[in-house]
Amino acid sequence: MEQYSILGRIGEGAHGIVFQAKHIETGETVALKKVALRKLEDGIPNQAVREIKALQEIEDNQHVVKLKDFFPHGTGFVLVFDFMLSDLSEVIRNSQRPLTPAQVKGYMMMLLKGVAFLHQNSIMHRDLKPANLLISSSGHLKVADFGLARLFSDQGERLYSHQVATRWYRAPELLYGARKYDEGVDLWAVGCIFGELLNSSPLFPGENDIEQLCCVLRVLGTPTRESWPEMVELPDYNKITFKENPAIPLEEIVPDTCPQAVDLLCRFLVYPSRRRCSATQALIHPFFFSSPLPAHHSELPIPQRGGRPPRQRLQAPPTDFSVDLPLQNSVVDPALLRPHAPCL
Amino acid sequence: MFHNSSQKKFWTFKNEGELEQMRYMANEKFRRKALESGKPGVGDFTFLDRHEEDALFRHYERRLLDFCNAFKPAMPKAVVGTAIMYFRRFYLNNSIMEHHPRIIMLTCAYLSCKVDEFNVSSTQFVGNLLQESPAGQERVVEQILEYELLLIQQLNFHLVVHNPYRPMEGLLIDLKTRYPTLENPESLRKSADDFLTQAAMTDAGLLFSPSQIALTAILNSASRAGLKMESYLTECLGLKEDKETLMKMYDSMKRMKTLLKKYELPKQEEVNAYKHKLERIHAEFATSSNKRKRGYEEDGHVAKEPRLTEEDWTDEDLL
Repeated sequence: MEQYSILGRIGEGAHGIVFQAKHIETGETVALKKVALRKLEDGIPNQAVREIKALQEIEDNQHVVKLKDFFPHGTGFVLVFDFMLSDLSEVIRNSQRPLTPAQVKGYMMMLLKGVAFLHQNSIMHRDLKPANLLISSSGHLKVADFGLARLFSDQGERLYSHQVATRWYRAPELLYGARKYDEGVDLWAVGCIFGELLNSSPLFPGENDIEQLCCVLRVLGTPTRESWPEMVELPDYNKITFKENPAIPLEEIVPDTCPQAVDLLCRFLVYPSRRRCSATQALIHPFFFSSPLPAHHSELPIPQRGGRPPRQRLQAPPTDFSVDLPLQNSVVDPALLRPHAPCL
Repeated sequence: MFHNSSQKKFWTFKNEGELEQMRYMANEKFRRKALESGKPGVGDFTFLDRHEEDALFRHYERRLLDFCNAFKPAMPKAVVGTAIMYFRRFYLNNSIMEHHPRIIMLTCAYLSCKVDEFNVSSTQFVGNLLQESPAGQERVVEQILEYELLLIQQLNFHLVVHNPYRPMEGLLIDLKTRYPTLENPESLRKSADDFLTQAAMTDAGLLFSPSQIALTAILNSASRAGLKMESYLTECLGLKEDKETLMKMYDSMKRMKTLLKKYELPKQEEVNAYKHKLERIHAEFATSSNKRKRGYEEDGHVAKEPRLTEEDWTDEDLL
């Protein structure tokens, strides 16, 4: 701890307080996450064990936060991460106008790259939400907070807890009490985040678990044996029934959105987890290859911590430049040059 | 995945010599520290030699296995395997003279439960120390929690252990689907399981990949049943053309079998004599160096009851 000087408090998470600090030797700014041993009788909390476990097994990835160091301190211990300026929830909350389609694409691409990397490394995050997607000062998005992460390759027939994920981003199988599930829960959350980026407001803002399920059912329609064959095996399937209602077309849920975006969104928000589009597949969806192309990270807004108004960054390039426009439109008419030709 | 795991990168070693060298260094380090402490009457005779250390290590490792096997609720195999691996990793760089294996072994099991999400509370955990009084169990909890952070640090925060149990299941499935020559692959399970249990008590896990260990277990089980399985390697695993890999594999298997053959539990009288020595060393040099505890005191957040000395409970009470 002597190696760091505390610069300020960033926030308080579920597992501890986060400080901004400077590594004295290198001058580097870092985030210190102090994990307190709240339940003294059981020692180091599971969240901290999971976080260390997951982050120690993966190599560096541009879109996953890096655990730089850890050491015991005071009543607990400290995890050291790269310092990140902000997070996606602040970006959504503070942007004065809706994000441009190019910016949404830029964020989605970075999010999917991070998630694809985790899934390739057999890690399910289980708590993806805008607040856990940190934004660096260079505009990069990084997946953070591995306090609920599980390795899924080595679990065999083991059961998981269904009380994971923040409610608004919780997959329907979890809402039905599933104890056996897979990385599809992350892909559902990705879909919810996508919708939130498009609308600047959460897609399924349930106030409690039952209402959460209502929110989802209202949009996707009551699940049937065809749309969700596995549903009947879920623990809470029989405990609750809903009035039947048809699905609302997603175009109406995310209005003014290009058809490709709606198509990709549809692929995440499906009932059977196995049918959700994987992160790797999503990255080659036409959405990312059609105009406007994903914004470069330097074209993304970076709000300051604490909700001050966003600093306006480079404007998106003028729209009259596009690969689809005929070339003649952007070159000078030769006739205009002719009178001056003798001077050249 | 094993191939990019911390286990492969940091905890798989070249050969037995390298491991012995590390243990030797740990032993030396403790001697030097003790001698430098300048306590009167410290001569070389007080210390444990490497072979004595080794015998005690094996004794406590066996105790750890017994504790895990008797644990209620039943501990999954992977949790047991991880606990034993932690114990082995810990004593690569630490001498048993420095940190008593009696408490380290329980701390390994406790941490392994947490890491593998086999959720038991600390009270439930020490409830398995049947010979301990409730007060004794409470003291053990206190000690485990004191050592937990030290253990994590000594493991270099590499908590994921790849055990050979899943690769073995995979190989059995593969045999059933792609190797009809073998009539009843399930018949190999029993003896292969025993092989894995024995292998866990050797350095196999510090030298070979889990899938190699599992494959050796299966082939060993087959050869004991008088079944020939060479064609599985050459045909199904595609090693027919790759003589070099095949030779390397045979070599690893041979080395593994030698490790298992060499293994023996130390004799009781040996254990008693060395234990006597170990207790004297701990009484003399008992390090109160304890990261977590020191941390607590530093902040003054937690007022702890004075720690009871380790002699208050002997390991005979443990099981």
